[in-house]
Amino acid sequence: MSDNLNQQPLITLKNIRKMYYTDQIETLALKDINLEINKGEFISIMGPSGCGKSTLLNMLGLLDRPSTGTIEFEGKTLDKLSDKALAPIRNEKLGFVFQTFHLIPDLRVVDNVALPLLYRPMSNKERRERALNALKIVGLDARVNHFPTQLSGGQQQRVAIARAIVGEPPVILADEPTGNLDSHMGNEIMSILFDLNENRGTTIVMVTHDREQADQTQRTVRVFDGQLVH
Amino acid sequence: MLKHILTLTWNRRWANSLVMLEVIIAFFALFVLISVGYHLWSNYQRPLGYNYDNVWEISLRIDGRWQDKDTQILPDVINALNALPNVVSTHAQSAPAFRNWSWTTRLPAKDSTERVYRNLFSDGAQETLGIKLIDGRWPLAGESEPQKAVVAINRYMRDRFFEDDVNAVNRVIVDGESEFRIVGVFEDYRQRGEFTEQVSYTIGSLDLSNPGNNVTTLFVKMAPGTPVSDEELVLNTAKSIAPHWDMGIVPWSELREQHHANVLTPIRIATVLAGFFLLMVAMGLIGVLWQDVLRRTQEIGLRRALGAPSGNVRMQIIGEMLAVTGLGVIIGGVLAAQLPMLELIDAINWQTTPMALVLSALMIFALSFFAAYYPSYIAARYTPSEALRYE
Ligand SMILES: Nc1ncnc2c1ncn2[C@@H]1O[C@H](COP(=O)(O)OP(=O)(O)OP(=O)(O)O)[C@@H](O)[C@H]1O
Ligand SMILES: [Mg+2]
Repeated sequence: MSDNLNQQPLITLKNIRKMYYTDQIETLALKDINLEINKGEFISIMGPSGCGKSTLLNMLGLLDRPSTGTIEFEGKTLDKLSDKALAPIRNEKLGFVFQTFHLIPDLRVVDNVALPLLYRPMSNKERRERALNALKIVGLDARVNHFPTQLSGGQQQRVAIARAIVGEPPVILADEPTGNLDSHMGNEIMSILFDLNENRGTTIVMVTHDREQADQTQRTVRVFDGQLVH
Repeated sequence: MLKHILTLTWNRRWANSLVMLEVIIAFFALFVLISVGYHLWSNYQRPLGYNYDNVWEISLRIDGRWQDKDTQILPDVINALNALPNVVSTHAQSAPAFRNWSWTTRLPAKDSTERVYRNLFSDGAQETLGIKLIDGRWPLAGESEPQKAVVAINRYMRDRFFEDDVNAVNRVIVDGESEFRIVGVFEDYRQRGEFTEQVSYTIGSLDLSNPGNNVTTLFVKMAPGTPVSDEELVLNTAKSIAPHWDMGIVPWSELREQHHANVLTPIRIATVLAGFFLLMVAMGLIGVLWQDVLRRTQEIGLRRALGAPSGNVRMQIIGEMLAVTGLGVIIGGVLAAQLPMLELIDAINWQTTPMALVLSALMIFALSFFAAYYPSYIAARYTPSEALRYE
């Protein structure tokens, strides 16, 4: 890793605001957020429920557009890009882990994991090999032909992590990845994430309610009422 | 991607079989309706075979049996009518047209026995009505004997009874004791109007010197432009000679319209019912597909979050729906293709089945495409994060 790359933030949020409009009620979910995510960091985001953590993560993950402000990814401004142009960035650069897993119930574990590779040019054989490899990393190589409903919650979240890492993205965004799990399973998930960060240099941004987890990360960003607090 | 679609379609087979069932029902309904509709339409397109313009029908209701004295005055009545200024010619028939009146018999055809309609015309009637003779000649008065009828047959009957390379003229159809000798072939005479099936038809000669019990109707051809008021004159002239005959007069064109009104009422009701049925089936299919696609909004959001371009996801979902529809159409098609073999109704036959199958398939595909295209368009308009939150 060169110093030059280290100096340039991977993702930069500049003056981000996000408004939601529902039945005459306007919610200002994010106000004037400025945030830089550097390559190789493990960042946790904390804050009370409804303060805008998921909204912030969705901005970083390009799953939603800000109302005003700009997002830069690897130095490039993204807000003028069409959805079609954002798709390959999501596919190659970002891996997402959701609190509610979001696995496709009609696909076997291995096919769920291979899903991001479906949108890259490669053979089915290679997709499968990479998916099996990712499952090995999360310790689920014995469950490849199960359907998601046949797995425990912790196992399902490990499938979701395997899906997030299968394309070897430089960034993983995790929204309360252990929120639906008991502490034992939560610890397993955390150790996988730490391993990815330490041994593969994957940048990780994780929303959590758990103080202990946050303390283990390199930096904690606190959100209150849509704003960053320092 | 194809493998992915096939895997997903297979894994979702229970949900998909509901869609497929709906497709099969819709396909079947369409197939039957198209077949029947086309059949009615093509019946209507076929020429009537005769000209009813300016022809007035005088129906005879004679008390008791036809007697010798009726035979004696019949030529007088015809002569008196022909002598009227606007009358072109008068003839008698044993079966009227545009009425629910038929005289049929069953005769051995090529491979089964076939219902054959019969009628007797007095001399010259064929020319007056403009029935087209395509082979041989018309039967003559006095030619027929009991059990030995001399007839002309219509083209349809010739095709049903004889191989293509056989000349039907001078052939004899034997049915037990009775014989039918064919002396001519005519195009058609569609006694019950334009909406009826094709039927086998024979015309024999009604011998006015020996009509038996056969005269039911007189037809008077009038000069073009004859006023309707002449009806009374015609009727009174006939009554003055045969006062004991109970007679009514009506222009054939009017009779035809009345008859069509009777025939069309059930057809119209059936069309409206069929339309409603089709609408319900179509709504059902659209509803099932629509529901299916909307239920997958989260999946659409997920795929986009993982880097699928939204067009790609929509293509995939539409592709899946069309694949399921295709499977349903194939099953429905195989089932529907059995129908002509059963020979349940004339409308579903080998000639029209391929066309009806293709048309039904196209319509079902168009319906499915719409029912997948539009909701997937709605689902893809959400941002990925909105789609993921969709319940
Ligand atoms: N799609 C939406 N439409 C309308 N309002 C929304 C939408 N998404 C979020 N909000 C609102 O924006 C605010 C921030 O929501 P967000 O989901 O980011 O909170 P959060 O910090 O992740 O909370 P939690 O810890 O409960 O997950 C909330 O007030 C929420 O109601
Ligand atoms: Mg949240």
